[in-house]
Amino acid sequence: MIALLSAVWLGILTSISPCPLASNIAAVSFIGRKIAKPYYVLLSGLLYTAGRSLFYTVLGVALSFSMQSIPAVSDWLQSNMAYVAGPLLIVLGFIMLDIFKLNLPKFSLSERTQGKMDRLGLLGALILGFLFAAMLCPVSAAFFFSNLIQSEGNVLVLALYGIGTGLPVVAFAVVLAFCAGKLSSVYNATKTFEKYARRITAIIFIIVGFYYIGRVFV
Amino acid sequence: MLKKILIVAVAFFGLMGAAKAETDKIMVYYFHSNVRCVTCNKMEAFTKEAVEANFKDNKNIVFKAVNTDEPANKHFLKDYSLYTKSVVLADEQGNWKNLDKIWSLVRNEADFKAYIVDGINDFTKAKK
Repeated sequence: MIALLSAVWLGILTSISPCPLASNIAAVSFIGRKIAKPYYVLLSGLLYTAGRSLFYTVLGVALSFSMQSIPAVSDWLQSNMAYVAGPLLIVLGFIMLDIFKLNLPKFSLSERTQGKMDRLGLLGALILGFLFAAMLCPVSAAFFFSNLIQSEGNVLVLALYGIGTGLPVVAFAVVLAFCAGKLSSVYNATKTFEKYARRITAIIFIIVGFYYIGRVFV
Repeated sequence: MLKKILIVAVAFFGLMGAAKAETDKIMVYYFHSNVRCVTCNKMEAFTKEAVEANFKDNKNIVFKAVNTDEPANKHFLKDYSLYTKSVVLADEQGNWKNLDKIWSLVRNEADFKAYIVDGINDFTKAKK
């Protein structure tokens, strides 16, 4: 029981460290962008956390068969994931700003289509969680691998560590979206607020993307 | 003849002494990569300060920061099973110890430094 609680606590400590700050800001803006739909924000946050947890569990289980490869895998992830995430965030940012158009079939924005787009956004939250977890920071590498070694690959410990790393982000996104939603309804301008929230998310993605690229190339 | 024996004896014991001094050496490594983070810089500074403040008269305790992204230093990852920024104590006989609690203690400077100092003292005692 103590090991399980400790895994969640170490996850929370990881999340509030300075190192994952940039990816946390991007995640909060992405999760909280649908300010008019609190349940959507919450579901999106839970899926983001599930994505993180999934990554740590999959990696942990895979490495539990080959503990001696931990140094090489950790080094590779810490050195190379920024090359993947940086450009990807920039492209996603430009797509959200409608500068790059996705070549999707033309739909009128019927309720059904809107539902499809929303589901795509939820899938995006899951993938974003997985991707950001894969961008190991020194602090996440320290706590995740020590958890993995001490628990000898206990799936529950690994999954709970992942949940811990997502919790502060989700809590912050939900509170932020709730406040923004209240504010927008006071001004009766929810649609306008959502449009700006989407643009802000896009700009944050582009800035964070360039930050990651700059960090590995400069 | 006696003079020659004396010179040889002095040279022999001198060499023995030098060799002993060398084998008593303990490296306090701080391993980092090209990308530095705020917490990592803090850990490096705390470790260096702890060594300098507590072992300044002991020339055998040497702090050294090592960049494991440099090809010549890559072997340290395997040698000491490193998976993140770490502080490792190592002697010249191949004994080493990873002070792996640094990440839990970095929020408290005094506890962090005490952990480093205790770690070095324990490592030194274990050698005797």
